Amino acid sequence: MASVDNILRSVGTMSALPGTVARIIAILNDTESNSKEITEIIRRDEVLSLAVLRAANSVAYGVPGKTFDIRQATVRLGSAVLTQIALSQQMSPLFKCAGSAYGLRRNALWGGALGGAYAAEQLAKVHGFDDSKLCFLCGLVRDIGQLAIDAHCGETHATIATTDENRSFLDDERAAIGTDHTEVGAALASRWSLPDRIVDAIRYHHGPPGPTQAEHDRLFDIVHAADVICLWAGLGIGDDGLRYRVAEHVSESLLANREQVEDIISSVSTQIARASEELDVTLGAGEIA
Amino acid sequence: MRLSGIVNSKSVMPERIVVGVADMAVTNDQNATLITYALGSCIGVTIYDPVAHVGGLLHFMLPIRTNRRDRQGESSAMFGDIAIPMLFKKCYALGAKKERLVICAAGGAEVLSDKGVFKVGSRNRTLIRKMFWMNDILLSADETGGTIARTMSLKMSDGSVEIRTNGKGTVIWPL
Repeated sequence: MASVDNILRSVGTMSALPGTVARIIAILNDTESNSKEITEIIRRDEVLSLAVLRAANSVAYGVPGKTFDIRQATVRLGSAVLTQIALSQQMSPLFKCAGSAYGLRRNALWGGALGGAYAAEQLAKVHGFDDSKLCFLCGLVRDIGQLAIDAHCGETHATIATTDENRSFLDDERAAIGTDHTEVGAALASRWSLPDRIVDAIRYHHGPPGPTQAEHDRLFDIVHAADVICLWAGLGIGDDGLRYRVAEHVSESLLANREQVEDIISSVSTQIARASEELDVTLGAGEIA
Repeated sequence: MRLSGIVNSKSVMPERIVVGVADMAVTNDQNATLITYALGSCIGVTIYDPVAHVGGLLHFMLPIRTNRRDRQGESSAMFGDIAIPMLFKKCYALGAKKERLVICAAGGAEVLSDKGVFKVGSRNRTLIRKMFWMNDILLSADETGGTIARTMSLKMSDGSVEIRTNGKGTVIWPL
């Protein structure tokens, strides 16, 4: 039976966290930093600059007129969108080819990651959580444990789902490999030297501590709710299906307003469809083999 | 939002038409197979006329389109109350007749222990039952509920409908 260490050892060859992402995370985590630093990082990276120029001229962002000047483009888009573009563009190579361990085809895991990021960001805005950029990041990386398990186990992991539909898939993972993708993800995030709060957001994305517990953090609630919204939106669903529990305190708070949640689901779906068109790939809908 | 719309062709080679989330496609190409992946809480509806050889597949996400969402410009195929009549009309336009249609549904699953007000899978299931009941339509096969994800396909050569989940395929029509 695999341990977290065994899994992480076998994924030693997996791409490390891109340096640009590490720098952006450090900026997001530092209250003294400002958005100019993110803009500078983008200007120094040719591929990112190109992505920003494309976004600045895309109808998706609703900016009138055309620009071919990177400085003008960064001003037009603003720091929140720049952060989104930088993180998405840099993280996508890690996710795009993964997913066979969960019965997902190419790009489906990436669609789930991006959907979680969009959902977390919108939940933060709707519920007055002041750091929507951090929510976007945590939504994006919440399932990095699936990347590690994918690299370690491959398609053999896709056979572990039991026929008991009322059993959590996390229990199936623990029974099959001795751990689950939340623990593996938190360990991988620690190895990548991500801040503790992001590590814990990954660890608790399927079971955030309740309001009476010392570890309770609204960030974890938002990331958990974003994950549930992805399940409802059909994003990144594989052989694990919908076999994850919804935390009661999150169900009664962040997910209590049906119309609000449906608005977020439809909006996330529209954003994913737009991203699919821009990238000319099908994101999100995973093949159930 | 992509909407596959009518695929009105007679291909020689077998063609796989992938229907995305919040999407639909109809065809009269007997070599085609319509397929949609990852039906979780969403519902897939297939309709097939064995005489006109016309079929369609819809993958909708939410039951009802509200006025508030109208302003956001999402695809009509996202909402069952708009998309289901649209699916039927597109098939009628290719010559299908209501009295001959074979209709199947799959999906509508729930997350575990969802005690909240949301229950999107249940509400999607309720919507199709209500709409079909009001329009005097009977489902020929119904593979909905539970907590699993499903892939649904309609083979146009014989109208057979297959559901795949966790590596296993089951033909739900014809029985």
